[in-house]
Amino acid sequence: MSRPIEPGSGAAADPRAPIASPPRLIELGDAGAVAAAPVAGDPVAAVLVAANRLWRADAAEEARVWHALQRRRSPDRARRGWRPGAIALAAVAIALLVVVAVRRPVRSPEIAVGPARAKPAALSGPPAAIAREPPAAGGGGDVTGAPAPARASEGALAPLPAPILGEVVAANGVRARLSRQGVATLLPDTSGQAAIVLARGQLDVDMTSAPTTTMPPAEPHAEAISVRASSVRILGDGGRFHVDTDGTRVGVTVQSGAVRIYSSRRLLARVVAGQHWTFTPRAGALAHAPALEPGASAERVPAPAAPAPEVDCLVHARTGATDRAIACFQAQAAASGLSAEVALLEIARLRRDVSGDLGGAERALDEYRRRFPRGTLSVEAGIARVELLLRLGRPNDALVEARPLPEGEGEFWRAVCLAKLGRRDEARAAFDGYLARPDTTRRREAQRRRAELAP
Amino acid sequence: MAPIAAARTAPPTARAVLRVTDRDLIAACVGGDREAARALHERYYGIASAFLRKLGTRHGEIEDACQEVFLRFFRYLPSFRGEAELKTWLYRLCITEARSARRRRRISQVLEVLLSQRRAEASDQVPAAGRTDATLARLCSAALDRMGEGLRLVFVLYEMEGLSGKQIAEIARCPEATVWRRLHDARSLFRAALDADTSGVTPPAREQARPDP
Repeated sequence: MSRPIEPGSGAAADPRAPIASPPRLIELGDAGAVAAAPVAGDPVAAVLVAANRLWRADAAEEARVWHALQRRRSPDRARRGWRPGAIALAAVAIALLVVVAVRRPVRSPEIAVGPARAKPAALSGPPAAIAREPPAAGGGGDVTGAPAPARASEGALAPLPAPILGEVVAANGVRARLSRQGVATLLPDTSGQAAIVLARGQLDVDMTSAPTTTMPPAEPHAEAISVRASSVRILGDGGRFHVDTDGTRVGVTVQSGAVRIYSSRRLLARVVAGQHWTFTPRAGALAHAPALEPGASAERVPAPAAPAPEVDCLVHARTGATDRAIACFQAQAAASGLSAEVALLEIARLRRDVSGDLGGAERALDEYRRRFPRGTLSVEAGIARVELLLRLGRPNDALVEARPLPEGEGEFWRAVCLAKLGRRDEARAAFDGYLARPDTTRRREAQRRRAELAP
Repeated sequence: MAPIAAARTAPPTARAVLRVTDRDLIAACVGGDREAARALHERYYGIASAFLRKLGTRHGEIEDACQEVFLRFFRYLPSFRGEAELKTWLYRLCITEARSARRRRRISQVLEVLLSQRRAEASDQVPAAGRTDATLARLCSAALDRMGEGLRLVFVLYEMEGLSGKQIAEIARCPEATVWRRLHDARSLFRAALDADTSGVTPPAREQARPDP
């Protein structure tokens, strides 16, 4: 192997001198087009010119890719080919098999006990499995003196959603009582957990007579009851609580025991005995904002880092919910890849420009550097760091960070740092160098700053 | 280049859009302007397509690879703040996609060999005389294939894309001095591979970029 290329004779004498480029094998014009014929007889140049000429894209290829891209970006899933549909079908089939396999050992003893209900024809019958109490004429839903409600499991062959009227006792012993004007549905019991969807009204839940679950409490489905109201889910596994909703606003009061409140998969709060929790959705927000009432002391739980790559977290920022936007981006940053890189930079930007939390912004950029030392957005991260350090009043550090930045924007930021440091001549020269470039994006700002430095 | 040619043949409205700067197009595209997205695609498709080809993406895979690149391009465009050059960013997306395409191809080749017991086709041997552009391009492709990823990237960006050393250092994420050293190695290897192909001598083994000091 011969000696490496010596780019420029002056480079060897002064190691700090800029490195000159070696002569190119072929002269290239704008966007890689061959601008000059290669040296006659040089086979390497001839090959490069031929390849450059042949490997250009044509307009038809570009148009094909554009149309394919439009189809893929289109929300119309029907045009996305057969694969998503096939995958969905396979997933449904697997889910059905799993459900059948899980339910079989549970249901077999009930079928043996109740032979009359075990007939397949019973499946098409009304949802009589869940014993309901008719509304009392003057009792307003109070069940005092009414016949004892039957257990939902008594009619286990009718796993259909059933509207709740008055009081109901679920298969696992959880007792729920709905107010007279209330609208609620008891969902079929599939996993030992009673599930109720409360559309409006008040629901009293009593789990004191239900057997204690042995499942780990951290699992969202391990609790004895799940009440869905508005966009939140209340999970409890012991004690008594009361849920009140008008369809949007939700109030939860816990008399004994404790409940967990989730929005989607996110744990919003844990409310214990004697506490009251209310939730009022913010108008226009995609994910609703739970709020503790003044004086209430329900324990807030930080959002777990759940991957949510497709959520547009900036929606929260646009509605002014910066904290929620940051939490949303944090969830995305817990994943990997470009989404996580973008999320970390957005966190830094929101903290720096919106929250004014410059320390927090620096931490986010530190995390970016630690996790993605050679990330796709490392230049953007470098520029964000320079801007931040300048705002923190650390122009020396900013200059150090600006040095490895590429030509163009890097030159601009180096000039800004030099100006901040009072090195006016160097700053002027750097701004001149930047403004001499044809592809500047901050020309007006550079001209203004350059004018301020004029002697 | 193709985008410019496309601009010349495009309808007047599209030509007007193509005169707009990248920054304005990005802003319009992020705002949901489909015409701006189309103009960006036209402007950068040729660059992406040619670069992917030079990185070793096969002819039949180019359109799929370009789709992936532009899918990510438009998906992450709202996060692009114009602080770095758009072209540099596109080059990086292409490098990632070319790597993925190479990995997929390797897997499919292994499967093909396993399933059909077919041996890989013979290397591109072309007659020395009477070369057309196509045969020269095949020679170029074969010579590039003998380089490691690091050498190939530097060689392609400098000799075929016309980028500066500093820009290449930014894209390849290495010091500028390393760029020149890799370019030197790549040139030697490229020349040796061409000589071997034309003279019938076995070319040198595939060479990887040496680790940075």
